[in-house]
Amino acid sequence: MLAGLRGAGYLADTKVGTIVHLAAELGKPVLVEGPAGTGKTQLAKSVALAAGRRLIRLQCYEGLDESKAIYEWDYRRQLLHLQLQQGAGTGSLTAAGIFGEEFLLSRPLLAAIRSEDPVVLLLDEVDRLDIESEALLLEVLSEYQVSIPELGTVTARHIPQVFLTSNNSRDLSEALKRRCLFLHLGYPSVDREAEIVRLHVPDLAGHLAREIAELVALLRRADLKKPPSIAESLDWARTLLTLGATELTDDMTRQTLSVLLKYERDIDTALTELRI
Amino acid sequence: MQVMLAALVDELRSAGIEVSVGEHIDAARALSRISLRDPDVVRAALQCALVKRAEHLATFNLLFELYTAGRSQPGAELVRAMTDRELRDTLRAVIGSDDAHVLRLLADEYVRRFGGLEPGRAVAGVFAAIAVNEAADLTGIRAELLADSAGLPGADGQGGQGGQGSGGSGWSASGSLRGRLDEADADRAIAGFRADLQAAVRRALVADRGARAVRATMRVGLVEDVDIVSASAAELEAMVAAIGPLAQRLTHVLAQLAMHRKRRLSVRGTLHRAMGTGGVPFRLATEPARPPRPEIVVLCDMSGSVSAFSRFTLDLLVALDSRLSRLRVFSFVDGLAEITSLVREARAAGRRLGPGEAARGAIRHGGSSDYGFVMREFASQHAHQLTRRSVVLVVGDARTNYLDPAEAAFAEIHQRAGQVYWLNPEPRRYWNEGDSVIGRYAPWCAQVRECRTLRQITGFVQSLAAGPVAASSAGQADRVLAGGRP
Repeated sequence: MLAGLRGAGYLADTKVGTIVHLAAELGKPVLVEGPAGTGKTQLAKSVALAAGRRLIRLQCYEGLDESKAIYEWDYRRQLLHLQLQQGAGTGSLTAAGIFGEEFLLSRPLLAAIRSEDPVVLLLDEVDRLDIESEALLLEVLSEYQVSIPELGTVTARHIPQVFLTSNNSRDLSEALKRRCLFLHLGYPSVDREAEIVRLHVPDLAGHLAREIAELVALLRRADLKKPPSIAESLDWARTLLTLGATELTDDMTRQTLSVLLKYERDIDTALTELRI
Repeated sequence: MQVMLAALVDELRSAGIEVSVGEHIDAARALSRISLRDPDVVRAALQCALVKRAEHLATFNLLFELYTAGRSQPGAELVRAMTDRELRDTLRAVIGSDDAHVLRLLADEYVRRFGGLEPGRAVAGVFAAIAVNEAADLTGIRAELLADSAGLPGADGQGGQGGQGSGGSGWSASGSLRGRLDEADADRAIAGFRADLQAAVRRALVADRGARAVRATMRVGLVEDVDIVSASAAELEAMVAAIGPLAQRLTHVLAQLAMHRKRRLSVRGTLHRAMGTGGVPFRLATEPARPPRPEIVVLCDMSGSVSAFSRFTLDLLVALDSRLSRLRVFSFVDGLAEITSLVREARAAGRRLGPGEAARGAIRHGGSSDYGFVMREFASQHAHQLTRRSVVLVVGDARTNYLDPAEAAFAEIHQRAGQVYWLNPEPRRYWNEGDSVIGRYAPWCAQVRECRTLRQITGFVQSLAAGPVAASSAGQADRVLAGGRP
């Protein structure tokens, strides 16, 4: 599992590996929580890539409803169908056969359930959903089925591997949490982050990768409004590479710190913290 | 393993983490699908099934350690055969690396050799920890690590800095930045091993006395139940981190309360709607909701004994600023100063208010509080601005150093304000003993509350912001903290 993820560009530790493995074994969704930019979404993408499965993604937002998340009837086609039938003069609506599968527009959740081949389903930023629409997910997540009143119940052919990500901007309901395995992704250790930098920016000098990781780790412990994420360390590594840096000098750091930190005040704090 | 799991679940529940039967079953199923040899794998498997909140992870880890201690680790004999010197060299080589397994072995060995823990002998874990820290010579190792990375010959030559250690080339041409990074690196390594040693002492104690006995002597609680005044630095940090999400949860609960509040029927609106249905009122219309938005005036005692608590209350109130439309903050010791703008600035900049900053201007003579002066001062200078919608909140222990409490001034404040509440961070049993005069202020307060933990503060803030409708909301706070829906 770890090797597979590594091949897909994701360095997982024992914890992540175990939980992803269990999720597949037990057929349970994984709720991934943690600060922004720690690779929550990337985990799902890499799992899909490593397993050679299709990734179906649903970006959650406030006001997401059934017709956007699960399914919708294709009104226009239904209407056209009815008009065609009018000439034939059939009696009732059900007989007209406008509630067949061919009139159903699959949205991500139904698409994942109906898929012919196994897929990875990613529900990104579930914490943005309002509490009422969270309930939409429950049936899909626990039974892997969707009930459509006109058609009956559609059950999954293959249990999809589901990942939910959350920035913990609000508390998810207990009902949702109970159905999931919980994975908290924090910032990686210095060694692991150095390795991540090396994996993604292979042309960078090896010792520089380690220095970047050390400096970023130091900054994360400082009192910052927005601590640098892994994505930002990678951006910084690429910046240094572009500038042809071979060493992390005071000047170089001072000039490129804005890649890492996005607030004026944070940059000031960082400069004092680093004493440069 | 299943017995261990049941015991662990029991402990989690008694520590306040809710574990449902379904989650217990999930954990048991998870155990059957993994290799049980690696403790990290077992830990991850149990954690993902049992613990669903990031704040609870630390508690889980501690309990997990207790209940899995005593399993023999592969490689233990190897470490056991080393001389003291070799042990130290190995430690220096791996310290700071990600090799958790070796570090754990080393920590166990240090505790076995130097901890002075003998089976059956009652000895406090603290002493063992001190002895082991001493023996491991962490200060010396830190100096060597620094010397190494600076490229200077360390006390001990080129002690193996394995693979990814910090002994690279080309780093000696370092500026101050390089030095700073090395320092941070060494500090991180040392702090990490210190935690390992502490865990090893706990494991040794568990091996001797059993998990339950050790658990009984430890403080394993959730962040929201920790006594703020006596919290450790790490606990305080966890609490500060908990404030943000807590405020968000509270805001949500308050919004719900406001929504379910009874609204008055609007005759005009109902008739207007009825026009569409031929004059038949199918749908009723109500007056728009007007949530109560009290003006809150906080008086915070910033004297040494209770300042930690005062700052917490402040943090939470400020985090809820948007709900509590007008918030004014005063700090006092033996003088009174308004710090509203200071608090706002700190909030906007995303940092906490420092203790010195908050107490600035609140000290006239010394650092001991004088409630009488403060009450008189507030009554004469600010009381005229109070209205019936004002809520005055005093945070302090009412220990006035045997000075005159000036109840008359407090009575005047009470008369002008809508409500006066007092939060006392002292345990109730100490009230009115010695120089505590809480009893003499109490008659003018709508409520005097003992408030020692985040949970209690939350409960109070909630009842305050929700207004009179949510009189029964003390219980709500528990649910908010437990993460349940209202």
